[in-house]
Amino acid sequence: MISRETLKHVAKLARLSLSEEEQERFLPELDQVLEAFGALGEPGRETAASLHPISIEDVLRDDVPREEQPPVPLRPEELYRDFIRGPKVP
Amino acid sequence: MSEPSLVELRAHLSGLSASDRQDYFMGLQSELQHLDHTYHLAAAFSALPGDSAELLGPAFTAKDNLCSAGLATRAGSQILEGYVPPFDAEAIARLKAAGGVLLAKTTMDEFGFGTFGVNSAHGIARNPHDPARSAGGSSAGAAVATALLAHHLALAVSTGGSITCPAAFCGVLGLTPTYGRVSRWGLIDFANSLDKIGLMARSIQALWDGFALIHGPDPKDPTSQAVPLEPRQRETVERIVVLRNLVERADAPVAKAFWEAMKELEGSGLALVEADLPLVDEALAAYYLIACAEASTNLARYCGMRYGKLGDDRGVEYNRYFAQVRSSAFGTEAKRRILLGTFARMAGFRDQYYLRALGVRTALLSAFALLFRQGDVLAVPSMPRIAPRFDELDRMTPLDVYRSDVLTVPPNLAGLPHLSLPLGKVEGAPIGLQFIAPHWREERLFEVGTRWTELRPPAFPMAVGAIL
Repeated sequence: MISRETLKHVAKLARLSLSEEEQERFLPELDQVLEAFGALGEPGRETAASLHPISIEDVLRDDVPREEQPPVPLRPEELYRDFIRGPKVP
Repeated sequence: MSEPSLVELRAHLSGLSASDRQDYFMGLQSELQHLDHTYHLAAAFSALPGDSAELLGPAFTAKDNLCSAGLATRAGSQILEGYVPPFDAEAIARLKAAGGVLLAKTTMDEFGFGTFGVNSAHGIARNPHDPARSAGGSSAGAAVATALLAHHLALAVSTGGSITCPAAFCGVLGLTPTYGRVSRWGLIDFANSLDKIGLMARSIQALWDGFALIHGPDPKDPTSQAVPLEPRQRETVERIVVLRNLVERADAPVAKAFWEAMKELEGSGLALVEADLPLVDEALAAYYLIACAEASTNLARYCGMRYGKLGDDRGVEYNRYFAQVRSSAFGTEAKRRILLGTFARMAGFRDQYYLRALGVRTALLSAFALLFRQGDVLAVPSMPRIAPRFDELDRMTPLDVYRSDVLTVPPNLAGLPHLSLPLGKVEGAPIGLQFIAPHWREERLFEVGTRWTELRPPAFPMAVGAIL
């Protein structure tokens, strides 16, 4: 069972604020999904974890100097003088 | 009239004067606006370029999670409202370099989160065969556009079945290549270890032409691999392995049509072998846990700064600002998947869910390797059911929706190439047949796909753009 406290904690980590209605909705839904998906077989498989379905050989480009792409222009509301404008830091 | 390939189309257009070529595309544009299926097409497109007079080459569309220079790219999400990329995704750039013209962006479930095309902030694409039914998802618009537009190729993307499902529901062909076959540069990530860029079209030849253009390594995407593409007809397909326990997951009329197709292929000289795929339920769980875990980290970048939607009030503390923007702009399914993925990665649950899910993928890869010893390709129905009606969808829980992916998840989780082909209709709604090949063996799919489309040539009764 996923508790309301756990749901609120997960939402906080994910930077989501959930309304009461959303909490009421998500709690049973996530419970149902997590219970069904708990069936991942016997423990022990995690030792064979692979991050990709194929073996990856890194593709590297030659280290040749080249002109940089101009940065995407910011919108006026994203700027303050020559600075990028962000929300308040306490 | 048979469907001309892109190569033939290009040859045809290159034989025309510039003004005739312009007339061709202007005609196409005006048909889009006037024929009966305008409504469906309008819903399928999420963004159109401003100046249609520039259309002078073979047309293609791109799913709206592929960045397109100067053309809105929103991945079906409100949070990317206003985002216009300064560059083309590699797949788009390669089609353009070959003379292709991007006709429109196609609508999709938000960031690819959906099986039925209904989780979009930009309108819901309806099934052109029955407007009361879903067009499938998440590449919904790509499938609708392919069903209605002749002489056009659709770039689509699959994470867990997002090409096969809408292709089957709309009665078109859909190719999902091997993971790493097509560069993901410029793709708005859903799940990096699962996302695959592919194609929808109306013929095997058109799919092959497009695939030959977009595949191959790209220094900008380190997961794109340099495995050469074998020429067509180098590989022969002699034995088909039917995944019996997966066919049993399909509704009776779908399974019946599938077995009839298998008998027809057997009658044409191919050998049938029956086998079971182990780990089916584990694979579904592992897929959703991995996909949501990766999605929850990928979506962390959307916070009301830099991309898309900005928040109204910057006077609030920054975590509150991010939460306000994200909570107001993400749709319900996006929130659900962010919560699931964040939970699965959390301290205390990571070993139980995420790491074990990765282990299931490794075990599934071994299971597939054993099956490919018994035959050249594997076969299953594309989807276990026909496209649901919208009123049926209202009654489905998220878990019901996730379980609808049971036939498409195994090849997607394993990164195996697969091809969905039209397989007639059930209750007036198209269904599909899906072949799966080993990693890097797409040419086997083209071989068996050619055989099937010769036995049962696909028909496109609702063509809008039949101009040639």
